[in-house]
Amino acid sequence: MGYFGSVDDWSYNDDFVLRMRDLRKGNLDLAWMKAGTEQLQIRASSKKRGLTYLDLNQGSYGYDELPELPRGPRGASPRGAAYDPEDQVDLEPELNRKSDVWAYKVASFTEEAMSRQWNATTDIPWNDLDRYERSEELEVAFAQLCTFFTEVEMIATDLPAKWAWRMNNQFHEVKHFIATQAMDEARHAEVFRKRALAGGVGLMEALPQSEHALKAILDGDTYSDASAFMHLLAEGNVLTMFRFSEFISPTPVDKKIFQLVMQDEARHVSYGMQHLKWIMDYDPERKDGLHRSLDEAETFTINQFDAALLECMIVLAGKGTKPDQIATGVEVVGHMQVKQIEEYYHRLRRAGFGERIGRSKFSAMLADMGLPDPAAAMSA
Amino acid sequence: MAYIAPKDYATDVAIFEKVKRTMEGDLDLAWMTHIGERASFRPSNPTRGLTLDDINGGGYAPERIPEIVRHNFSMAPRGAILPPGLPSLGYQVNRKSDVWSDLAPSLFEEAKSRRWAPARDVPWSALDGREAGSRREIAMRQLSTDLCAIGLVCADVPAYWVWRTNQEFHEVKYLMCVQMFDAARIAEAFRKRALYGSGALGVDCKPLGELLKMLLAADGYPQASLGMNLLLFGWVQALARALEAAADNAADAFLATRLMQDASRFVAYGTDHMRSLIHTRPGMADQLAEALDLFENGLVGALGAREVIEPLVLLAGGLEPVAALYREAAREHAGRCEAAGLGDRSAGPLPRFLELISG
Repeated sequence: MGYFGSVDDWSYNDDFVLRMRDLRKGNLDLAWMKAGTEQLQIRASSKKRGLTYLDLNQGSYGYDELPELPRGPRGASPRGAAYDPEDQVDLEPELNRKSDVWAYKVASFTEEAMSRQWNATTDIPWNDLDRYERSEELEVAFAQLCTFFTEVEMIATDLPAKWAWRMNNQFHEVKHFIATQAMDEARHAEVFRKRALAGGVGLMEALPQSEHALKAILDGDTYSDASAFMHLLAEGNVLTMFRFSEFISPTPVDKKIFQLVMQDEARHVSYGMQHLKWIMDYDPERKDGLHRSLDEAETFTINQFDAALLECMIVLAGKGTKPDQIATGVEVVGHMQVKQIEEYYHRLRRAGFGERIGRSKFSAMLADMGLPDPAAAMSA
Repeated sequence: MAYIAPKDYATDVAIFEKVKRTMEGDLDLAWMTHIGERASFRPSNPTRGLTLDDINGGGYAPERIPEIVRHNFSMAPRGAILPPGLPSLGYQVNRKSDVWSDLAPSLFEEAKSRRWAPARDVPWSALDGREAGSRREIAMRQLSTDLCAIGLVCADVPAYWVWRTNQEFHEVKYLMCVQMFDAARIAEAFRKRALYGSGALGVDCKPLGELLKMLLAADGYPQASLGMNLLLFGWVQALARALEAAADNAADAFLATRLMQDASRFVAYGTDHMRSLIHTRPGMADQLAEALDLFENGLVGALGAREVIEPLVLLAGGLEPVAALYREAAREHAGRCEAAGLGDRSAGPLPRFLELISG
């Protein structure tokens, strides 16, 4: 243990012993009753939504008034509580600037996450899988896809967790959002693992290229660099894949899975986009660093075009491995690839980082593959 | 980023050629033969759904995890085929007994099935009409401030460890995510409780902050789990019971029962984790007992702090009921330590503290 507190043995500490004796005599200090903290009228503004963080966004308790450099507590003290700046327990947070972590609408995202929790155990009609006939090759392809999703989803718990404990507790809405994301992603890894192990095939082979991208995400220099890679690019790509996977799902049970994971993933991507937008608005000098980070992120992403991943989606989209089925599958997957990049560019633009599009490595890649470049379509 | 790609794949002709071939319909399909252990698990009880225990069979079962993981440091899921070339993600918790509890899968399932959302599920309007300046209400708001601080840091403790933990232990990692979620919800719920109506937050409690910092600064995950799950949440559970007994409105009763329910999961995991760890590595018992002495001392500071004990005294109507609550919680804690193999705690810091407040 690297920290032991300030008192060697409380029960033998003279002041403490005297205070306990006073307590036994009924003498209370009660200084804490005169906290002097702000007293506000706080109620639920909508009965249907209940008492949300938005309702608490007032005065010293609110987040709108929180400045870029909130010179407040550095410990466990909740934002707005009384504390002694000279005598507080310093948790030594490393992320103390609002723009390090903040995103527009983050309180709403957190409330939404709290109200839209679902359960992979009971909300998926697992027994219905037996009602739908699937060919062996389709089930094998779907098992490969589920193996991939099981493999990559936990990065979206591990990466934000790596940074959450370093964040100042004054940003508790963001930290709470991260906790909901960790829960969401654990559930995603769970649901895809369950699907792979319920379908008759089991887990298949892990994908080294994807793993290198995951390692690069985890090794981001700053939370914002890592968030841009993970939320905006990687989870954005996965969101497009979820939408596509719902379309090509072999059974209604699988469609249900994708409908549920999609709503969570969309929230995470939105947070990433709104965090980037916040940086563009309040700390735009960080653009160069973000460019460099996304340069490398795009490099890793290009290397993710693994045969197993690409081909399992082609087999699922074409519903088999006969030449005409493969031709259909290739067409559908080609559309998805263009869509992934198109949506990434849209997010960059909406975040106020549209200048990134001209620098992106994806446009040249699509041209090389003979696929249409969404950047050209967007500028037209 | 610290991890740089070995080459710029955007200029790697081989990749584009490979993708182009695929997109022209020339598929390899070799991956279709890379099938590991076949599985078609179904719910053992249809009303409960497909649980983690249902899918933990054959080569996918946690019993197959070795005590020391030497074969997988990537994110590849347990039971998947591991091809050459998987990178290390730098996990530091690679020893099964450092994290494992057989209860982890079922506690994760329980947490999901008992979800609640403070915004909508708490009957907040039951607090309407309360006298904001009453001693009782100020005491409740101070305790809510303390619980909010506990929630904030106890979300950080699993966050500190989860990304360092090997994916082979995914059930425990899922549970750590649940703990982040549950602890953040405690912070949310009690912040809302303190502020509702004409509310306000109370004051920071320094000794409590010291205890929380000790948890975050624990040497290893076993020590962090011991301090947070077994010790602190044992007391949170007892406090929740007392708050429920003292509740004079539906909102406070609801919050107390949910706090109790959530805290019980931390305690169950922590106790079983310690039991399992000491069973596997009996030599750890002394190290853990030493860490527990330090944590218990930190807890004594927090329990005796004005910002914790005095609001409890006001709510309970005197010191004796609080002393009784503390004695009962200490008795339960000692029982859990005994069951976990941590030995007799009568020489630890808590008994002396109980003497001090009991006279």
